[in-house]
Formats: sequence, structure tokens, C-alpha cells
Amino acid sequence: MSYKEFLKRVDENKVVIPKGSFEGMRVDCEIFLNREIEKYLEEDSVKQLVNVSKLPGIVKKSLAMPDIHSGYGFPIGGVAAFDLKNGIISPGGVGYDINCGVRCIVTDLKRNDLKKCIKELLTKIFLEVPSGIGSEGSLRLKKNDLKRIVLKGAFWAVENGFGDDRDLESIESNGCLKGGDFECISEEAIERGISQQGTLGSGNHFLEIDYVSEIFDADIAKKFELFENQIVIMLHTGSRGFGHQICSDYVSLFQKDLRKKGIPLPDKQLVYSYFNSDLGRRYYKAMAGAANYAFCNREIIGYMIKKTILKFFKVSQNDLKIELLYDIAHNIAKIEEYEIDGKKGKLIVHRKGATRSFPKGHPELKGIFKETGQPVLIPGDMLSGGYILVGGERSVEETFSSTCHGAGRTLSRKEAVRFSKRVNVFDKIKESGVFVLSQSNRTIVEEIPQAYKNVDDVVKTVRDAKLSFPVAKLLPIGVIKG
Amino acid sequence: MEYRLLDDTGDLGIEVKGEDFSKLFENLGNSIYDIMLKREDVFISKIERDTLKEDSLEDLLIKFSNMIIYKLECKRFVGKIVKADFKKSKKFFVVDYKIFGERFVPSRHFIKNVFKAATYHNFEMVEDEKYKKVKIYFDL
Repeated sequence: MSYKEFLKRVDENKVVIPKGSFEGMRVDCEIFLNREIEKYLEEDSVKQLVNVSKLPGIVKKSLAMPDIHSGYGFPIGGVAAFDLKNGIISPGGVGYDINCGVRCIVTDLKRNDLKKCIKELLTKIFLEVPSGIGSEGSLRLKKNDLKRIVLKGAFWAVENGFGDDRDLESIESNGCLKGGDFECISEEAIERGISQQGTLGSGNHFLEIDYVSEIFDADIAKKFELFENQIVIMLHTGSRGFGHQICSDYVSLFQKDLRKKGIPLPDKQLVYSYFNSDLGRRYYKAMAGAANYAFCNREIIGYMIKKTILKFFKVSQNDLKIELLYDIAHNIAKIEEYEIDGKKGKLIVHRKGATRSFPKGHPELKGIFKETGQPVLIPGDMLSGGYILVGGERSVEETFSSTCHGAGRTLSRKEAVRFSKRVNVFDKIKESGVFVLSQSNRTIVEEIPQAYKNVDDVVKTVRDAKLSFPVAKLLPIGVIKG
Repeated sequence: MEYRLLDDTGDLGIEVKGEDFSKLFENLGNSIYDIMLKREDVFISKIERDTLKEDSLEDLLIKFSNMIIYKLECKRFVGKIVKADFKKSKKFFVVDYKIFGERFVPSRHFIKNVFKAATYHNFEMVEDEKYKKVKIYFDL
């Protein structure tokens, strides 16, 4: 019998596999999914979600967002919270690209301002922000700089003149996860990380110039200073080779540890250690260091983009607004406080391809976001654009304050390449009017729109489930693929 | 070369075989380079060699694959031919390898696929009288 056969629809936006359906399940599994996108649900990703429900110390439920698809250990789109005293931490619940995330920069440029110069401007940015395989940044970091980045995150960029201190309160966790520790990070990771600060990377990472095509919530849009036809920039990248190496190192260490203890695993990638164990703590500190590396990376790239645009238009920052709206992580494990059975307690919340979605009034939010809720940034495929949403109150009790992170793949990279042989992708891009640049045509082919779910359907599910609410829709005019 | 590509929604897997473990490691290394770039563009002007050891064969195969990724990202080295010699001691599984290649030159070496990490996802190792076979999935 398949895993999917155990799914029960409980409402228009949610399906459940009750605890007890499979041996070893400690909690229910819940997937936020409307009927339109249910057809994309893969057997393997449901199996992965059930495997997560069996992990020690899991609290309330094993969750997945509507952009769920098969990952390593956890499904992508997976959310799970574990008790700090008796629960585990798992690199499979964070992912290889630790703190892969999205940054949204708003400007006071209008769509028409770029009509004639988008190609020229995007090419300038393409030349300034290194992308592609093992791309190296222009920053020449010393080991001590990296040590400080691991500790301080985006603050390092600000104190070294690569960012603005006003940005910090517009970054999740103010751009720094406490506990980053250089001593818990291998020499290989340090070597991979030292040359890659301020680089976009490859694969599904991108930099997009969009315009606001539709406003859904005029009040919040006004508070975010968003207006129709406004130019905004979306950036998607993470901790580069640094995070990958840290994940690889700890997956291997956890494997050895579990083997030594004779603990069997349903999936070799679903390794874990108790959060309170020495190995669990060491992973957390290394993971926090990689998360800080990623916050710093996006702050530096944001600074490069701003500098390039100002230079391109030959204006100063007093003449042209280019400001950070928000910066969020979608591959991370964080200590957060929740009320469970009437008692407040700290949990380690894993979000693997899921975005934090704090509602208005949340004590961790600052400034305007305390009134509006935290911005949630959801990119779609390279031609369909994405959304700016805000966190909804229901997410706190339903999903440990989490929502979706993107559209979610439906085709493998190999299938996408096969599909593009039937349809001329480059003609389609030309017809769309979106100017696309990449170090490799292969990346463009692998990232075709048909390889992803419709982001509108994904956002509709989280809106109807009241996990987060759309504020504005963005459409691309220029895209740099990594 | 004896490998085939495996489908995965997010990333890419390969199935490699060899008549013994030394050949399996050689074929694994050569197939990673084959999928990663056009090997015909790589000249031989440098040899990278080392010994890797692990307490399980599975860990050693993953470590060996990750070593190739590390060499490209950190040492800016690309390989054309991989040679390997596998041994099993009482405690460890050991591989001595030599990679014949050169410094990575982005303008000359066309990268087809960017590997970021070898994973344990759906890892499979099969041995019969004729072949040793392994399936490894890579994060791209």
C-alpha cells in the first residue's frame, strides 16, 4: 500500500496522515495542499514526511507546506519542531545550502525607467555580482574575517562598509543567529567559504529585477512603500560551498555516531543527534555559523547591487531610493518559543524549504513589521515572478510560524532538459520579454517554468489556510540565473 | 565508461559499476568528471594524489566523491583521468588515488553540471561475482 493512500483530506487546504497509520509514528503528518496542486504530490515526499514523524522528541506534528517535493531526509517544504531537552537536531531538516534565503530590495524606480536600459543595467549587475560554478568574490577575506562573519553575520558586512546598519532590523534574526562557533567548522569548509563571500552561486540561485504588478493589501503595501509598477529586486542565495561542506561533514559524523550506537534509520540522509548531546550542539553551532555566512553574503550582494545601480544612473543614494525591504531564511533550524499544552517552552524548529511567517505583534519583530507582520518573500519560476506576503496569526498555532518558500519543482532537472528539447525555451523566453542572463545555458534549461508548480496555486493555499497573506505580486523584467 | 544517470526531482544521481573496488572508484571519479565537464577539453599538466580512509565503504565512496567537488571549488583543479587503488585493512577501507588533470580555466573548461555535494540519499551498493555497483545522488 502506498503512503499517499493514507492521506485524509480534512479541509480544502489540508491533508493529514494520522499518527498510527505507520509503525513508529509519534505524531500526525499534515500537508497544506489544495485540490489543484494535490496532483503534484510525490509518493517519496510523503514517505519522507512520515519518516520525520518518527524522530525522537518531535512536537505536535510533522508538517509540509504546499510547495512540498522530495528532498534529502526531510521533504523540501518540511517543518518540524523538537523538544530542546529530549529532542533531536537533524542536518536533513536544514538542507545542504544552510540559510538559503531571499532578499527583497525596493527602489523608487518605475517600470518605465528601465524600459530602454534593462539589458544594459542587468549586464552591469551580472558583471559585478559573481555567479556560476565555484564563483569567487572580489573580497579577499582572511581567516579571521571568516571567524567574525561566523559570529556576527550581516553585522560584519555593515561594520566593514558593505552594508547599512538600518538593514539589520529588516533581516530575519537581525542577520545573526546566536551561537555561531568557528571551532565547530572544518578546515575544508573554511577553505570553501573564504573565497565565496559576495557571490550568487549556481543552480536555482538568482537575482531578479521585477516590477510590482498587483497590490492585494493597500494598507500594508503603503507601509512597505510599495506601489504598482515599482521596481523591486529579489535575490535568492545562501551559504555557498561553506554551508554545503558543513552539512556534508556533519551528515558523515552523525552517520558514524548512529552506526556506533546501533540506531537504524529509515533513510540514510535522515541522520540526527540529540540537541543536548555534544555532537548535536556542535552541529547547531556550525549551522548557526553557516547561517551567519549566508546573512552576510546577501547583505554584501545587496550592497553591490545598490552601488551598481547608483553608478549606472550616475546618482547618489540621496537621489535614488534603493532599500532593503526584508531578508528571510528558508533552510534553517532555530530556537523559538511556543505554547504547548498550555505551557511556554523552547523548541528547535527546522524549516527545510519553508519560510518563517511571524504575524503582527510578534515580540521578535521590530519597527513597522510589528504592526504589519513579517514580510514573506516567495519567488516563482523565472518568467512568472513571485509574491510579497506577510505572516498570518494562524501560522503560530498551525505550523510553528511557517509558510511556503517558493513554487516547488515538479520536473527533475533531467526531465526539464528533456522537455526543453520539445519546446524551444530560448524562443519562449524571448517571447515573454524577460531578459535572462546566465553563466550557463544549461541552468536556464533546467530552470524552465514548466519544471515548477504554479506559484499562484501555492500562494492561494497558504492564503486560504491563513498562514500568510499576499501584499503584492511581482513580475520579472530581467533575471540573472546562477 | 560504465555509468548511467538516475532521475531525481531536485537533483541528479549516477549508477556506476566496476569489476573490482579499485575499478569502481576509478569509474566513479571518471564519471563525475564526465558529467561535470567536457573531459576532452582537459589537458594533463598536474597530478593530484592522496589517500582517503573511512570505517565504512559507503562513507569512503561519499568522501571520494566530495573530494572531487572540493578540488574544483578550492584547488581550482579539474581532472581528465582518475586512477585508484582500493585496500581493506582490519579497521579501515582505504583508497589511494591519482587524478591527472590541470588548473580549472572557466573560459576553456565548459561546466555542464555543477555538483555541490554527494549525499547518502537512496545510496545503494550491490556486489555480485561480476561487478561492484553503486548509486549515489548529488546535490546540484
